[in-house]
Amino acid sequence: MENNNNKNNSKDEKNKIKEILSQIRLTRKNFGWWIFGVFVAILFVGFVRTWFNPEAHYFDPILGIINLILLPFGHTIDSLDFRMEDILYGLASGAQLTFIVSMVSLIVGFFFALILAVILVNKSHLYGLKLIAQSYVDFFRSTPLLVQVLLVYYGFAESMGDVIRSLNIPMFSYEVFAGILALALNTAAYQAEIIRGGILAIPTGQTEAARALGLTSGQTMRYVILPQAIRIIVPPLTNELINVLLNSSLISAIGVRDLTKKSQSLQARFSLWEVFLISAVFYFVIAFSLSKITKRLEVKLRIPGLGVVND
Amino acid sequence: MTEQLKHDHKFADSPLIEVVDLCKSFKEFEAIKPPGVSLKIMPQEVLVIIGSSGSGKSTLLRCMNRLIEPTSGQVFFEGVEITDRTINIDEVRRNIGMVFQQFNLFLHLTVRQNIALPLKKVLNLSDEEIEKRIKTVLETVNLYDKVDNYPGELSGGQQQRVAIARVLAMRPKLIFFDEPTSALDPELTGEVLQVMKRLVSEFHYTLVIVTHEIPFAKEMATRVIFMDEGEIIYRGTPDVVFDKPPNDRLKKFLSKILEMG
Repeated sequence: MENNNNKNNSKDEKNKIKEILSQIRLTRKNFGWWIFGVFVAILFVGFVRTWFNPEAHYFDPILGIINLILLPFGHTIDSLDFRMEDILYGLASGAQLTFIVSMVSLIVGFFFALILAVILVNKSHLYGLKLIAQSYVDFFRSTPLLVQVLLVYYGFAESMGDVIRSLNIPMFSYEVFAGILALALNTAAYQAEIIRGGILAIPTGQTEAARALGLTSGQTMRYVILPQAIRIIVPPLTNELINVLLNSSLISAIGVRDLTKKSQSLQARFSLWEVFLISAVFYFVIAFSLSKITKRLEVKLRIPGLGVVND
Repeated sequence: MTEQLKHDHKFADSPLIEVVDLCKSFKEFEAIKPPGVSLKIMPQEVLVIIGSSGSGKSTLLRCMNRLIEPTSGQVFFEGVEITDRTINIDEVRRNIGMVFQQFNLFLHLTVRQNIALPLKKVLNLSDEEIEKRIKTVLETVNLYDKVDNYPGELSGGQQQRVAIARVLAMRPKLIFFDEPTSALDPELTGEVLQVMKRLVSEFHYTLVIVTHEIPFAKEMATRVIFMDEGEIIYRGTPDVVFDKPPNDRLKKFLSKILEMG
């Protein structure tokens, strides 16, 4: 009996490996993923290089590949236009900061939003906590992000400014801190509403069944409601992810040297409007890749036997 | 109530659940009207509650394990008042199983995980013990081959049987059935009723069943309660209730139901 089981297990494993292999084989269907994968791999190589060589820039390998492509035509990027290399390197470091800032804000905002959402769907008033959470969401959804960014930047300058500066973490200036904080506070409000919607979409029967089995309300939320809600909220959360990435351009107003700020200064330096075109391409590549990844997540999280398949 | 008395209750022929003057109103709507419902559920009894929709059957059932908070009145479980706000209702509920009209399996979990979740999180059992119980209960409802399937991949009848298995795995002292076959077509209804019959004939479970299945009620019930417009109109043994209904409203209800069937 046990032997039989083992045999089945190894068979299952073999099938699984086969399945994975068939999925990653280069076909017309996953061609886009291959391009994307290679791109990410090159970026990764670039980042690894910067750890060992402080002089190196993560964008070096990509620029190298562009040069490789141009070489047969008798050109390098520098020979095409002497300003190009500066612009690409400048925008690349801006893009890096934009990416990091928006991802950190998004993740910090998500956990904050989770707490807010759980408070908001609660039936009781929770000693005024619910009112506070609701006011918070209302405030951050009804005021412009730029105002919030300025508010946080100037509001925390006295209390936090010197502390953050004295920490002396590379890339983490007081401006970056204020930018991340403002973006996280803002996105938390939107994400809270998204998560709340996801929780409310779960039929009450699920809660009833869980409570009738003796699970506490906390356990019901943790093991029954949230795991199902997370599947509903992935598509709207993707929207919010892209919103945060693109809205992060507003923190250039407080002097964070993100992609937008870099484009502005490079444009001023070279008097070249095309800089913004290239910067738009940078934004596009990041946003589009992220939406592709979350689409993948959506497919991964699907519950067998439920819902319409829409790939 | 002293510890001694509680103990006596367990040995004597005392009710598992006792409901005293229970009322429930939702804002304007009186689901269970004053002066309220009183009843006793004895061990190994099969109590069937019948009545048209909106008569308060499901509300009564949910008030008895406080899924709905009653407006007034008391509910005792093994002599302990569970309508008392200070008791831990989660500890009481693990002894009272409940099966729903819409099955309410956790859709994101496999059959195995559905049964394991409360065993692990509520009863804190070991993995070994959990696996043993899963096997036993799924064999009881004849579904062990579906242990790794998701609820969405099962038929309605199979889902309801899994729901029953999930409740059985908790080894409750009694089980509530809230219209367990109303969402099923007649073919699938049979397999669920079969399982319920086994619970009574083989395992001597105490059941409280809200149902519209008159033939089943007639066969299985030890006692029948007829509810209408938020009050108990008639209570009696199945042969009296179904064969020679002594009450006009009951007569009307039965003829309506049998007409449809």
